[in-house]
Amino acid sequence: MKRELEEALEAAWMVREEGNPARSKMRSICHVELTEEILKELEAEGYITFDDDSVLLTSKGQREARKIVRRHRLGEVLVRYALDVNPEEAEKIGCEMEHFLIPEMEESICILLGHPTHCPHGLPIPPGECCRQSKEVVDKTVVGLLKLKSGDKAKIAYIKPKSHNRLHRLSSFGVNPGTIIEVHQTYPALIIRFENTELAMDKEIAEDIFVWRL
Amino acid sequence: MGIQKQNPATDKSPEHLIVLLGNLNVGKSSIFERLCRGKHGNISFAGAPVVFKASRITGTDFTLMDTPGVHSVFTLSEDESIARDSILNAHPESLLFVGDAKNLSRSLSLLLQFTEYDLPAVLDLNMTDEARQLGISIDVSRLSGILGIPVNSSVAVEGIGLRSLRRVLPDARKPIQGVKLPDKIERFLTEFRKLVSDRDLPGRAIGLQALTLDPGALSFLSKTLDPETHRRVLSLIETTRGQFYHRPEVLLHETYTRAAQRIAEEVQTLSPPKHIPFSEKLGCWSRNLTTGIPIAVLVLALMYLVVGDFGARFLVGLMEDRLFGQIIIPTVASISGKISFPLFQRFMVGEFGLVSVALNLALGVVAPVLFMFFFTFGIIEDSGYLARLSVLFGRLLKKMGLSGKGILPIVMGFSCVTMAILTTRVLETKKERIIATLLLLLGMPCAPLLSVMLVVLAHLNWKAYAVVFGVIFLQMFLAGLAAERLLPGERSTFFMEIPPLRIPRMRSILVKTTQRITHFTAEAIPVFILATFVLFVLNELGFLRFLEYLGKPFLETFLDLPPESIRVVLSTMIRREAGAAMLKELFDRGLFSDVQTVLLLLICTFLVPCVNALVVTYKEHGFKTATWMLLFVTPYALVVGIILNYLFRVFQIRFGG
Repeated sequence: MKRELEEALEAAWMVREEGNPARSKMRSICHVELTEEILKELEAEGYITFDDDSVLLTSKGQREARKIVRRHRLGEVLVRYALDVNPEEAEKIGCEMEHFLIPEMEESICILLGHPTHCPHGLPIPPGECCRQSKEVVDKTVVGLLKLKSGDKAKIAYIKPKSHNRLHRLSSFGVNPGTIIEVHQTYPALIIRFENTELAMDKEIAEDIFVWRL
Repeated sequence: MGIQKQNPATDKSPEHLIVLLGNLNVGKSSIFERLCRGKHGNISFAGAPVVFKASRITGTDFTLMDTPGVHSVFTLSEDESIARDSILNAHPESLLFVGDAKNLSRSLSLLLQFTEYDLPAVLDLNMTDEARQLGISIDVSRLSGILGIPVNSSVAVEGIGLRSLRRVLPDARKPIQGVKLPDKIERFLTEFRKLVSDRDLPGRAIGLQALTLDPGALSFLSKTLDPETHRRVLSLIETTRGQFYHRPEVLLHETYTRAAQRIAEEVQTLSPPKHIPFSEKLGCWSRNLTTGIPIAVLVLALMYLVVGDFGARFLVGLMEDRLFGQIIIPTVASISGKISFPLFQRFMVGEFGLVSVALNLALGVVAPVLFMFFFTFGIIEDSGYLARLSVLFGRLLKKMGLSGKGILPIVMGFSCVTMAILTTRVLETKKERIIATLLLLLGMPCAPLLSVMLVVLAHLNWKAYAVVFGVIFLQMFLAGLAAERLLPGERSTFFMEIPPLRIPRMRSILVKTTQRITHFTAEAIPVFILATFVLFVLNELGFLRFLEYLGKPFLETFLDLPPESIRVVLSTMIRREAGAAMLKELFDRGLFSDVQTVLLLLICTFLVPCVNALVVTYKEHGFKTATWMLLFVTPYALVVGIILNYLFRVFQIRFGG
């Protein structure tokens, strides 16, 4: 979707939140100049309808606007609280993030931040699928694979590309970021299992693999 | 493209060729054996050293070609690229892809990579029985719909699902292009296709492989493209690769893995069983230290009972003493005595007789023990236990400069040192390959030698076993330690897949054992005959006596060995077990004492590798390294012999049984 359209939908969501969906109100909070063409295009795509001076979101428009707002506010929480960026910059970055966060990133950020409910301005963050399922990563930090004990389950976060050949070899077995593994044994060699494949590796290889605990 | 058909049975219709592909341990061989009941032939391609097993699929006019297992189309390993490049060379009509039903997403990831060849394919999901045990059920028709190719399920070892597989083979279809690759790679492929548009190239696969700088693909392109296009392709590859942070091959693997996981999630339902299957528990026990070591000891003890006791005592007693000693040799002696002069009788049944020594040793002593050895080794190999030994002994091997994988050549060495040296190729660094070869040459007793050793040792007491095997392994360990420190080069790392523990199938083990034993007899009997004949001639000419006279002072002073040891050493040089078998002969006649027998047995083990092992060493490591190894091994064996003899004397160790 075009950037201006996303901004306009966001504005429409916000005026709806405030209970005053007037066109003039919407124009004043929108980050881009809200031209008639933009509104026409949104109407043509079936995102909004007009009621006198009010701009109303259709159910399709609500779905889309909700996602945009969610990305914006999650982005703000991330940069403001998790990365400790100053409020003014955080606001700007959040504004940008709504345009480029893809669904996987959005979900990961939400889990990472423990499903935040409100943005730094105190506005509600529309809950996502992950919040409803209350997906939770028990230990929210990435740890080295060697830190795990036998029986632990984990999701691979990244593999340190110390040696390209090694990375290639691991990935050709299906050991990629995102793969969920279980540690079966740590001595004399580390044994991990995913699907029904068991891989044995020594310390030198395992220390390059970083995981999320599950 | 030179396809040389060696077997007339596969000659008729090379255009109906199907290539059998899949991961390691998915049962490709079982499927091959089950589909092709007739005699197997071979296919080889001009310029490639590898020979593929190929045969007519019974009841059809398709020819099936077996290939080694692979992990990925974008591979670094030479072994794996062989299977893949066979597709480029063979121009198959279709692919038969075998997947592991209990590792669906991994199998699909490889299948999706192979779909880039844009060839008609059939997927066979094998080992569905094991998958069912693990609570995995797969919607086969849905999977077939998603992939756009026929999908069959089977339990190949039981022969289940093969008739239906044979039926769907003609329906092989081109898969629906499913995986969208990252934009940069798709753009590269578009550019690439524009450049090579006028060529008939196998789908996108060759472009992707070229992008990963695969040597096979690059050489294929340099052969098929004109210089100008080739140059432009290379520069396109270079600029594209420049745009990646990671190498594109890693990105490719990730993309296929994800796509495969999505499909797998859609078609498979998991309901894990409440009880972990026993085989899995046993698999876990056998690879951790507390339970694994006792299991390893138990396995070795069982192996000794079967090979050492049943094979070396019982079977050899039956074959050598009864069959040869009481029936064949006396019969041949009386016949040859009647029809000819004494020289002929000596040639047949004399001290170095064709029947009394060559055939008797090869068939009466070596073959029965070897059969039992290959049989038990086959069980260990087939059951997946070998990989667990790797895990157990990984740390110990690492001290010797070998990664856990290093156990494979070492254990193979118990079967045949020559073969084992060939398998050192699976090791990753040059240093590791040299260490493994050196250890193998330094005294790994191969199966034929081992079998004769066991026969000889059966006449001595337990201390003889302890000393012989203790010395062999101790010196291997020490040599490994030293080599690890002295040789330059990087330490290698250990990384391997552990196959599931399975009950080995007797039928396939017996087939394999028979093949190995046939191979051995075909190769060894002529050598036994030759060795005996050389000794026979030398003996008749009095040359043997002369050599023994020359060697006598050295042997007596330093090793306390009788001059007859020379014959043993001479036979050893021709074939290792021939020497040991000769030793057994001389020991039986009372020419050697117990201590001398043990000593000579060890010297024979250390002294010289057999001719085959030597040839292979030169081939694998080049002239310089191989000569260097040999120059080290020979004096080393004599020095170890001298030291041992001294120790035996000082401590008055006897081995009399």
